Parts: sequence; C-alpha cells; structure tokens
Amino acid sequence: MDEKRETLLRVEDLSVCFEGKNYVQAVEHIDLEVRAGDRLCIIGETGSGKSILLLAILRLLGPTAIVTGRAFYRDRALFELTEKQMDAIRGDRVSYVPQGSGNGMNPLLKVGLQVAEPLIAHRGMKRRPAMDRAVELLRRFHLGREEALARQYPFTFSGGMRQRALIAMGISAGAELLFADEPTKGLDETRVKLTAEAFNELEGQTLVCVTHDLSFARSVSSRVAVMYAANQIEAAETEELFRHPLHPYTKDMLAAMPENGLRFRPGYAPAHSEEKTEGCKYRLRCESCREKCKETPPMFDVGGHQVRCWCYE
Amino acid sequence: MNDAILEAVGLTKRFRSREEGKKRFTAVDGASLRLYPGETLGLLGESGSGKSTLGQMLVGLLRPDEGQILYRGAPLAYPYKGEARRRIQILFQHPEVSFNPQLTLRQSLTEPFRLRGLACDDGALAACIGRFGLYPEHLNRRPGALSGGELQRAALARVLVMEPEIILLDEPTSMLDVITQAQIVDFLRRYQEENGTAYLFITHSTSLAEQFCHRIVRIAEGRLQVEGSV
Repeated sequence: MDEKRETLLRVEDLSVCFEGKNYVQAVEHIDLEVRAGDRLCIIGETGSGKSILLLAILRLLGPTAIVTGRAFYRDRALFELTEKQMDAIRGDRVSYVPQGSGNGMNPLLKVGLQVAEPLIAHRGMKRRPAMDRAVELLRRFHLGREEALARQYPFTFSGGMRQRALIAMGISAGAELLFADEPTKGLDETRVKLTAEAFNELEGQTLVCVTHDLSFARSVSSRVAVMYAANQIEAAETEELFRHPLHPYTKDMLAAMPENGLRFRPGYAPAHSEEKTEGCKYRLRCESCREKCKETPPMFDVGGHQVRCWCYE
Repeated sequence: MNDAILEAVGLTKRFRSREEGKKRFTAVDGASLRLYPGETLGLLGESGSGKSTLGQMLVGLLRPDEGQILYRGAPLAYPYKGEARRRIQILFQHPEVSFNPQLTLRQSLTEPFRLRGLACDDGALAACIGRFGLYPEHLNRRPGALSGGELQRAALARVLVMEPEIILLDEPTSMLDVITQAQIVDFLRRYQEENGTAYLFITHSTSLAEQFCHRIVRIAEGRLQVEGSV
C-alpha cells in the first residue's frame, strides 16, 4: 500500500559544509524519502544539522554554504531549477514555517496580511476574503481577539504569539508539503498542545518537521529520523522508535527527558572541525563503543527500523 | 526568620495596554517571595503569566511600580549598583540575543574578566568554556556561527565568571534539546552544591520544575498562587 503513495520529496546523499576560516560540516550524506501523507519529524540536539538540512532542501542557505547531493520535489530536481522556478514552488506547493519567532515576519506588514499573503499570491483570493481566512487561521491557534490582532504589527505580539502566527502563515495556502523548523520552540505546554492539534488536523498535507521537542514529535509524526553531528543515525515509525530505540544516542536522548529523570551520558558532540573524521561520531560518548566504531557504520535495516550503528551489523 | 538572600515585597508592575479602551494592564500584582541561599525556587506559569516580568524586576532589569526588593535584608534601588549588580546575574531564554552579534565569542567573554580584573588570556578563556564542552575554535566565531546549545553554554560560562550569588534562570533550556538541557541542569546543580548559589528558575515545564527545583511558586495573571516544596 505504501508503494501506491506518491513520493513528494526525495533527498539523495545530501551534504552541506561551510568553508572559510572556520570549516563546518553541517550535514553529511543524508538520504530521505517522504511520501504523500507522511509526517516525518527530524529530531536531534541543537547543532546536529537538522535546520540546515531543511534550508538546503529549500535552497534558502546563503552563498557560503556548499551543498552537494540531490533533492527532488516530485520529479523536479530542486537544485537544478532557476530561482524563479523555485519561487513558484515555495509558498505554493511547498511551504515553510521558519525557526525563530523574532525574524520570521516582516516587521512592516500587519500580521493578518502576512497570514493572508500566500492565499492572495498563490490561490488568487481577493484581499478581503483572504483576510477573513487569516483571522480564522489565527483563531485556530487561540490567540484571542484575533480580528484586532490581525490588524496589528508583529512587534506588538509576544514571541509565542508570533510563533503561532508563523504556523498559521505556513499552513494558510494549504501547500501539499509543509516544512516546519522548530515550530514549538519557546512555547508553553498548553500552546505546544494547540500546535500539535493544529498539525494533526491538517488534511492532505505532508509534513517534514524539525524539532528538539520529543513529546511534540511523538504526538504529530508517523515517522521519526534522528540526527547526530551532521549524520542521520536512526529512522523508524514513530511508536517503534520511542518504544524500542536502537542507536545508543537515541536511547540516551530519551533517558534525558525530564519525565525520565534528566539522565544523560557525559560528553558533547565533536567539534565541527573534527566532523570530517572517520568513524561513528558518537563513539566517544557511547558505552557500547568498540574497535570497529573507528570505521564509519553504514545504515543497517533491522526489520524496517534503520540504524547507523555497528551493534546491528 | 529572615535569612533570605533576596526578598520581594508586594511587587507590582503595570504596562500600557495594547487593548482598545484599556489604558494599563497589570503584569505582576503584589508579588511577594523569598529566595534563600543554596536553593532553587521555581517560578512556574504559562506564557503571559507575568513570570519573566517578575524575574526581571528581581534582577534589576525593570523598575517596579510598587513594592520593594531586599538583598541580604537591605532595600535595593533601581538600577542596581556595586555588589548587587555583580552578584545577581541572569541567564536569558534566547541565547542568540545574549551576545552582541558583531563580536566574537572571545570578545564577549573578555568583558566579565575585565570587570573583575582577572587575567584573560587564551588559556583562561579556553578553560572558561571548556567545562561546557566548547572548544578553543569556538572563541573565534560570532554568535551566528554557533548553535543554540553552544551559545547557551557559552552564556552560562560568561555568567559564572562573575561568581554570582543569585542567578535568574529565565527559561534557559526551553530552546534546547533534552540532552543539552539535562547537562545544563546537572552543571547548575553541582555548581550550587559547591558554591551555595541561589537560583530563581522561570519555566513553563511542570516536569522540569519538579525535577530541578526545591520549591515551586505558581504564577497566573500576575498573581503568585501556590508555594510548596517539591
């Protein structure tokens, strides 16, 4: 049945590095396949390359980024499109909820118009009905006094309100593929629940969401990919991954959740300058580390559960 | 008994309202609390409950409209000066705005060393950030080239140079992943055990507050509600 669903996004061997005085290997050899209706969450610690991966797919990285590999939206090779062709896809077929409530909105435009803009630009709606729809979308996120808020500028919103308005903007035109980068960052528990509800109510939309909020990831996704130090190290169906994590890093990450007692393994991710080195990037922190881990592990398939660890050779 | 290191008595703060027909709204309404040496007091509330406003008044970033703040039993005048200014520090929620974006981490970290008259060579700076898992190569980067977790660890390293007695932790881990969060909480616990530092921990996460705090005060619509030990 899975094979019948169209592949909306395919990423092949995608790597991103930033050359210069400080070399940074931000993303390394990532492969992804997202089918229509999938809800993929990419989780991992800050600095693991999750957001850079999204930005690279959407071609939103600056000129200092060196991107290699391929990314396809349906059958269109994204890295071969002109900027104009890319603009026609972004906001129409593919939308993006950026990270950071502070810089995702135009400070000179009223919030309602920004939420309505994709409807006007890509769905041919007139301004008045688009603004009415924007108010409806804001209401979905329980901002309160939505009609008045739609006429206000972003600076009058709190960070949490801006974050929710950004999500409303991202889903307004009903793009078939929605990318969201840390949509719940900084929101309180009640607002995180509201955001999860809104994502779960999206009909016919495919979601690729980067988040470090594990509970949120579990509540909105059908599949989860885990990144560590620029690499994808594990991927599985959501419940399978949370109930039976395989990679030692994923196990450690789940143990560090407050409800599990904030337990963690000492050590930090390697410096970006060391990320070019061979071997498993987690080996210096891993209790299962052995000689073999000095070689870079491939992705092993364990009954549909993918894991990049020599323990599952 | 009054051995509190920091005490708030009837603090109130009002802001101009954004709502039509309403001139002012009260963000914090007559809040009183005590913070004791070596304890972590959790201030738990949802967005807009007034917890950050209360915290910012306590550390001298906002002037209260009413009420008084006592540091070691003596009233503090806004803005704080001298010993209180040095010994009461804050770790912000958004690490990316804790640093001047035009300065390298080396330049930002130099300031507290200079304020305290401490030697500030590469070895001292590397040791300062090294205990938080940051590397000497990070010193040459500007904030934009560091991840949120790296920046927050650098911000904590910078705060600790001042040897604070009190740290306001304003949702310092809400933007971070769970492992970085657990590492920061663990470091803060150990630092508290060694130095007796008092923390006022602002959070909206009940599970995190229950794990980290000795006492929790809840705040809603600007009013403090329940106080109890965890």
